Amino acid sequence: MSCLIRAGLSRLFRCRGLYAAMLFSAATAVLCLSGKGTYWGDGSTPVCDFYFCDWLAFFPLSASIVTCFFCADDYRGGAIRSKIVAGYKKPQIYLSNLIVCSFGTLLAFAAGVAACFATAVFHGAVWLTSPSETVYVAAVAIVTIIASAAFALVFSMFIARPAAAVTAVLTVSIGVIFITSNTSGMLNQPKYRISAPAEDLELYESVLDGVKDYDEKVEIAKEYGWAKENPYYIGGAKRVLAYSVYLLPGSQSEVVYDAVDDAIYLGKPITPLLRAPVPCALFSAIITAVGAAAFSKKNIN
Amino acid sequence: MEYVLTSNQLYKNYGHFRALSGLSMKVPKGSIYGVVGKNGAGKTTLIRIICGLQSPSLGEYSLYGTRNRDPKIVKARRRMGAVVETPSIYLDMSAADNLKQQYRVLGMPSFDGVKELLELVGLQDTGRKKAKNFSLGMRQRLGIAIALCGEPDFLVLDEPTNGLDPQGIVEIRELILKLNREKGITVLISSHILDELSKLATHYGIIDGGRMVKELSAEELEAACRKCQRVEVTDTRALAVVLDGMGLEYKILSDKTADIYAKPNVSALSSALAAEGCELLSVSEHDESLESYFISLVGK
Repeated sequence: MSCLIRAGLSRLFRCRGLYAAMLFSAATAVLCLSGKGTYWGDGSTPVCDFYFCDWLAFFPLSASIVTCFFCADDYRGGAIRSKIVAGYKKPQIYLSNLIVCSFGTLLAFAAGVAACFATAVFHGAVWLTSPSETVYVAAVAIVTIIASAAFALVFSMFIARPAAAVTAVLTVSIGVIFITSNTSGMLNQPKYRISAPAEDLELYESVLDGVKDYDEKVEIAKEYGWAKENPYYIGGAKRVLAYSVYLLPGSQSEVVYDAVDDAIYLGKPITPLLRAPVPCALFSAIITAVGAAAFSKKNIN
Repeated sequence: MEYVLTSNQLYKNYGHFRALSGLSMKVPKGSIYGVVGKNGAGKTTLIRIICGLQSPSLGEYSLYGTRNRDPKIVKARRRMGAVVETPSIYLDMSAADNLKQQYRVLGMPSFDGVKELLELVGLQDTGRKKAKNFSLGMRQRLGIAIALCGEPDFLVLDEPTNGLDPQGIVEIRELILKLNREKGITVLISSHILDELSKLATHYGIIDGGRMVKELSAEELEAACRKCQRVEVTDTRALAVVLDGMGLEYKILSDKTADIYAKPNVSALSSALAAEGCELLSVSEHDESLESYFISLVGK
């Protein structure tokens, strides 16, 4: 399989999709950062951490572009057949394509990161997450990216016509981004809403100021009758279903965003990010196993 | 005799449609084996299965004695190259780059041999021209070159002359003959152009309805298609005695018919048969062309 990977990497650099994805990645990164500014502290310094994480949500689209074009070249001229005739098993071809497409997606990510930081420097923005946590954010992003490539590969290996493959993968990726952003919003709804009437505002501030733990806040607020059940909170089986959406790669960027947000505004350590690599890795493993098994049964014409 | 490929009761179903129905065949080593059949007979399905692109629904095949379900089939496949239906090429690469890419896939240590392969198939002057700008004949030749990258000793070609002009057909034919005679490569070639196959094949497999109808050598086919006088008599044993006396070559087909591979004097024959107590019932000229022989086997 190492020969297949080497051959694939050689072909990757001739693939139009790689350069299209790098351009797309860089363009979306610049747009995310330039489109809006955010202020913290003295209110005048833009913070680029959030918009970097925001941009990550679009990353599955870059993965789709690389993967679809790379796989389409195999099908377009029928070159995939020569690999099978040469004696390679279909799961080997599938896995080698995953490795090569993941690498291509990482190159597109690197192009986006470079554009992101170049734009940040241009705007005089700051990066507030600590260096060690930044490395961790980057590692999590990489796991997310590989999961995106694995997701796109399932479509690309089964749809031989390049235009149809790109359309299908992009449509599903955009759909997933939409679903996961809404799901994230739903999951972030607290169980209780804490608010006090205007006449209790001073008491509210004195009682709850400095209480950072949400559960402790709720308990105190209940005593004063300030805690009401949130109608938008989802629980039970619906919550389990919503969390399953977190297995999808696009949603992991939401986890990263929230964790960075909490780290900067609330001083929390980025431990929630521990959630992100595990579902991503699990998702990658499951979808790759299913995809490789299905591809091994596929009749190649 | 050593066989490169044998298949035993191969079946292949696509849903409710049965493409192969108990096909068994043997491809002798060193032969040019022509698989002949109508459109939809199962030629391409057979080739796809033996190339590993699809799995049979039932039955098995062996490549160099290794069964298809044996993990060692991978090693056996390294000894074959194939062009299945259309050439397997990267359209955005030049001829040389396509060959280099195949060398990488095969794990060849260097690109030595690329130039020679291009010369062998007549593509040495294509330079950086991309394969998508090649003519059909050039793509076919590139496909064959790619199939030859791993120095296979078994080449499978699925209708390699489809869509080619007469010059292209001649070039492909001469290339195949050269590979077989000079390098000893066994070739399995499928076609429905019988005349073209007859100039190439040393062995034939006639397929119809997913089944092998008949396998025969070129000599056997030639014998079957020879011009002859087909006679119908009341007793072929008596006929045999008479023909032996006349020194004529013949073949007894049944207890009432025989083919005589000469033009006998009918009245002399009739008289000689009468002396043996045998009656000459009919004489007809029989000239079986390859097409008519094929049609007689598979029907119109």
